[in-house]
Amino acid sequence: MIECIQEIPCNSCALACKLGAIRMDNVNDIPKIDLDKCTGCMACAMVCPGQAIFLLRAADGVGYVTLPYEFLPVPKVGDEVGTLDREGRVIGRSKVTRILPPERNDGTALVTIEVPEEWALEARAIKVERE
Amino acid sequence: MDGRITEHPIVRFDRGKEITLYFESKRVKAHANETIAAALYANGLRIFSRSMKYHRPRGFFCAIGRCSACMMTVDGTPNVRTCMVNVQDGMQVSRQNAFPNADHDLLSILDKLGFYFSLAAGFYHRKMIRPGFLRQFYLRLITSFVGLGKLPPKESSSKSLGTKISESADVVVIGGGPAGLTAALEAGRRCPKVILLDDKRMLGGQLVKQTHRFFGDARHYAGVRGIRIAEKLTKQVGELKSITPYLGASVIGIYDGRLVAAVQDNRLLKIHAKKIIVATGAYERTLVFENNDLPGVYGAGGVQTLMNTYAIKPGMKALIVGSGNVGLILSYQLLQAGVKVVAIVEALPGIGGYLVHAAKVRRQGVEILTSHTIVKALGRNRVKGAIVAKVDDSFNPIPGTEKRLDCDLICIAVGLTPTYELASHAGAQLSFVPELGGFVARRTRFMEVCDGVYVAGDVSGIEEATTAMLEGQIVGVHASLKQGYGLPDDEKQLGAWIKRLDDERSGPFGEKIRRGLRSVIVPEEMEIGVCPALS
Repeated sequence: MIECIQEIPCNSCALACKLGAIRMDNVNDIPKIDLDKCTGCMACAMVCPGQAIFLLRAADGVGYVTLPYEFLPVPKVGDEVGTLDREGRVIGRSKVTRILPPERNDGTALVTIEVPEEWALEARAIKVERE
Repeated sequence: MDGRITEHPIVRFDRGKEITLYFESKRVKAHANETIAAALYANGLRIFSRSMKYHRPRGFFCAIGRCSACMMTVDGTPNVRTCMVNVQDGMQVSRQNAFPNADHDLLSILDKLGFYFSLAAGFYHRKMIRPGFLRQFYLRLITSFVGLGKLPPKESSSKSLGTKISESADVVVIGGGPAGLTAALEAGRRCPKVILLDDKRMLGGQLVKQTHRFFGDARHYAGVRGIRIAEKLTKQVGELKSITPYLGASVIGIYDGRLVAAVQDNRLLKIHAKKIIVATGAYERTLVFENNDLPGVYGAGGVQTLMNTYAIKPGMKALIVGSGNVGLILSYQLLQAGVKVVAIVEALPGIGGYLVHAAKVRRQGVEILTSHTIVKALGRNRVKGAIVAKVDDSFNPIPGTEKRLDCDLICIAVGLTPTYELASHAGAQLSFVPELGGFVARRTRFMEVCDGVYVAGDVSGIEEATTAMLEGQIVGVHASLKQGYGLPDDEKQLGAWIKRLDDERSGPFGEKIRRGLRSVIVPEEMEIGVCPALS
């Protein structure tokens, strides 16, 4: 899901996609994603300077949200983290199920959290406490 | 107290070896890769100087050698911009123009008295002039109270401007930021001799403190962090034998439209240039409010330099003034460095920068107060808080809506203004264009401002890095072609870059820029003519 709602001069996602699944005719266009071509590889989310690209998945009432994370400390798979909505309010806690470590992507980690399905459209950031 | 950042999610800092600095005869721990100002800030210093006349405390503001608020006496030399000079072992540093010292300056009484005796600008022409025979005494008294540092006695000054270096080059590029670097690279690929001048000790301009990924065209590094772009471009410059960079070299003038004079480490560089590219960038604007000179009120860029280049925590709780992209990015970077952001205030009814940037900080719980402004900074010698208030349609604070915010840092992110002085000195005709940030040079579509002199990047109008790099490339190629140096397909390449520039500016965010450019781009190359100094 691309939450890029404003016409700004940026095409990093479209040029990062090797499959041509993101269409932009002009650098100022809003990116349009072709879900038939998208494989969910997250190459676009790895470079998006606005951190506006999220991968959402739902199975058996459980939602999975993959989001970019550029803070410290970096969580580990299995950790419980605070789940934040778009306004930074804590909506609950969730478990980290996958992570692309920050050192593999110049500082931007991609963290997948497991949330109740109805949170998938709300959960947009995490808060990791220090041990 | 050590204000140095020990861990950061993005940057790995190389401070260099630990050395000692003597600050007003106290030993201070410093590192070889820190500037004097950065090392002192890390050790808790906030009052860097006293203002010239009223002896009000001054902190640093810009951290890039533009504002003069951090000037101190270093090893006997007065008025050294401490944000521009790296620490050396055993260096003696002291503040100036204060008695007994800048922390407790008795002369700050002038700040209170000035009001009663109305010591307004030029008072010395009207007051203390009679009786005539005491005039000289009064003048000496006044000059001992005001002013900057003291000159060392003549016999002890060993550092005179001794050596002179004369050089000539096909292209001289002034400024090593995104525009200057790409201009030097394109010129260096075509011309036998290119000289690149910058007053900093490292190339990259303001890219060196941009830890975030850039927007723009992916063919011009969008999606890549600014610090990485600086590394890449600097490396490419190093690989080209045709480019000679001079770092720490401040250009002091351009004479007869062809001779570039610069000062580097107490020596004078005289460079005869066939073409000159002015890529001097911009500096930060400030805002008028009560106590806006209090230590703790800093430019957004100054805070970025301290935090992202020198890894020093600028404060604990920050208030950001301005919600343009700089204000939004700075807020995000402060959070990454472990600084709390209490709020972002914006006088306009809407957010100024990109909404995706705003969403990044909103998700972290940062409040953006639109239609609000800062009324006053609180604190006596350093910021302890701020009063903000709602504004009406004409941006005046509405009485009764004031509220107090606790903070020790106020970051001013209200935009930039072009550093046009050298372009003007070279002979460019200036126009005041608010849409482009201030005074900018009239130019052709190839950015030529007068015969053989070009501008590129923020100095030609405030935009962002992608357009600066495109402009740099355009002028680099054009300045080479004009001298008969070129590569096959250069004409086509120039056309493609100009098209890409137009595309960048074609969206709603480019509307203001397009409007501004219409008034400064002259239709035909014929109109700019030769530099006045030559004709």
